Amino acid sequence: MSLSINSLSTSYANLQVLWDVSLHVDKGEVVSLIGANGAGKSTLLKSIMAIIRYRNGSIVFEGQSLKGLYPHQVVARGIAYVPEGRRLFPSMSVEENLRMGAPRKCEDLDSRLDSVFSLFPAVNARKKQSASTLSGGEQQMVAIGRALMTKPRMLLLDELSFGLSPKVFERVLDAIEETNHLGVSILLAEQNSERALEVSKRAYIMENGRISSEGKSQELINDSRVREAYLGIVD
Amino acid sequence: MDTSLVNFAQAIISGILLGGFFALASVGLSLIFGVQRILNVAHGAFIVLAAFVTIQFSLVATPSLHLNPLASLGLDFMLIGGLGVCVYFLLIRRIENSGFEAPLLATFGLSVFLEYIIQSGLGPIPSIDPSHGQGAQAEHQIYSSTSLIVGPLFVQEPELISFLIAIIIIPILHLFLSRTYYGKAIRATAQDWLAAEFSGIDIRKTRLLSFALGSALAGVAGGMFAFTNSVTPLLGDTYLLPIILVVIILGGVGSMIGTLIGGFVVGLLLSFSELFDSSYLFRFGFQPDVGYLITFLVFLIVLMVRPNGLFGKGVVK
Ligand SMILES: Nc1ncnc2c1ncn2[C@@H]1O[C@H](COP(=O)(O)OP(=O)(O)OP(=O)(O)O)[C@@H](O)[C@H]1O
Ligand SMILES: [Mg+2]
Repeated sequence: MSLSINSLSTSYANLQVLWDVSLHVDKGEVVSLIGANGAGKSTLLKSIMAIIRYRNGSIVFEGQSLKGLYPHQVVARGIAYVPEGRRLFPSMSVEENLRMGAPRKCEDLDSRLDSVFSLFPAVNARKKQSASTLSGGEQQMVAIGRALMTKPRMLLLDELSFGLSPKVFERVLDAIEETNHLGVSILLAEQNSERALEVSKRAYIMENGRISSEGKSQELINDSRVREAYLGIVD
Repeated sequence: MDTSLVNFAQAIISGILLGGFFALASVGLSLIFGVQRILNVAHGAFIVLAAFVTIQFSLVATPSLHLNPLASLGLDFMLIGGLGVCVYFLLIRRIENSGFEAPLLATFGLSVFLEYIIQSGLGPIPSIDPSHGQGAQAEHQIYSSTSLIVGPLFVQEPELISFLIAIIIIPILHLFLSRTYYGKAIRATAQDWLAAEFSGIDIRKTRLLSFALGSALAGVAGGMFAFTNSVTPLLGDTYLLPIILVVIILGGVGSMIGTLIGGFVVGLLLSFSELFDSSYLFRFGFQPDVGYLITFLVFLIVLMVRPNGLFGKGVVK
């Protein structure tokens, strides 16, 4: 097992947001995490990244607990994160943004950059440009590229589809599948995407900070309650 | 050459040299403010403390060890840089994520504390160069600044040195920030510290590095300050800090080259304002020295037109 979360509870100040959440991602798997606005998907990913401290429960990656680490140490353990809203460094060039994902001493820097550029040729064409001048889709690609520059074994993706046209979202999902074929495990948080369920093998559904159901993505897609609540399809 | 032309040329030379010193005094704060959004108002006190170190060093080391007083600049760099490290761990680190006000108040308290120590603990400060008047007796003369005279124009040696240090250090700092890993990591931390952190950057390191480096540069500036001024304990707040703030805001917070240019602008404003006959202002109760008045007037006008300064975008670019 790659990532395993057991009975996690997370709070912001006095407001408890996650309740007894358990979830796992096997090595090489694509898992999606589906839930409405405010369900707690981002909070879960931030807890894994140690951006938020959690009170109870455990998060274990490749057999080692992530408790008490700083975010950059979680990155060093092999987990990379693409946040909601991309969060690029706006006054830096695309190439500098990517450089920041790699460690200081990085012998294979050029080959890491090349693999990002071959995944996203559109990014290669804009590498000298300031990140703030990119389109939303290009920014998303750079954010994924920056995460891949850390050479992760697991990738956490928060709301990839946000602000993207269906066509660009497809392009981005292709890149994610390609990355997965290279052996990177994926946890994909999405609000209501049928596409997310289609690319993942298993999925968890989150409601009000709890996991309300889990199972094979194919079965969830066919579940009429899930179709209605999360995919916006009324049979 | 006729006198007004000579005065004009002299004002340009003095203004540029003085501007170099102001840029040197400001660049450390510009770095800290740009990276951490921390307005370290103790920066002026750091400079005065370094000036005091240089004076003491000169009193002790020059006569007995036959060291050039300028050797103290290295000491200033290390001591004030070390002070920056201590202040960072004891004070800044605990409050740096809690908004703008807490660090402002904390460094204000630090400034008062340091000034009290300088004033009451360290006693009256002699002057390195007795030509500055107060303080040292003739036997304390450890450094007398030579003036380089070119025709009708003259240049004070220490002013030239601090100018040269500024125009060497500031472009190096610019290259450090734009070319090296740590420099880029400092800029990334400035632009979005959380994104820096989940990109794998140890932001505790980058913040410590920028605070220590910014403080160490205040140390170098303070060392040079001792050679050109008679130092009094409160000079950091009454004279240096206001000018430094004008320089970094004019130049654009976080832009090193902007700070250099901001320094020149303020230096030239101050030296040219000495050319005006300001005696009539006397009648209205103004000090005859209108340099400050003109500098701050220009500052306010620039801010009305360009709120982010002449070159600035707000954070380290
Ligand atoms: N910094 C914060 N302080 C306090 N409460 C927060 C904070 N961030 C999120 N919350 C609350 O936590 C709950 C879960 O938020 P979260 O962002 O994890 O949801 P989400 O599933 O990612 O939603 P969305 O699909 O809209 O991104 C919400 O009720 C939100 O109001
Ligand atoms: Mg979210």
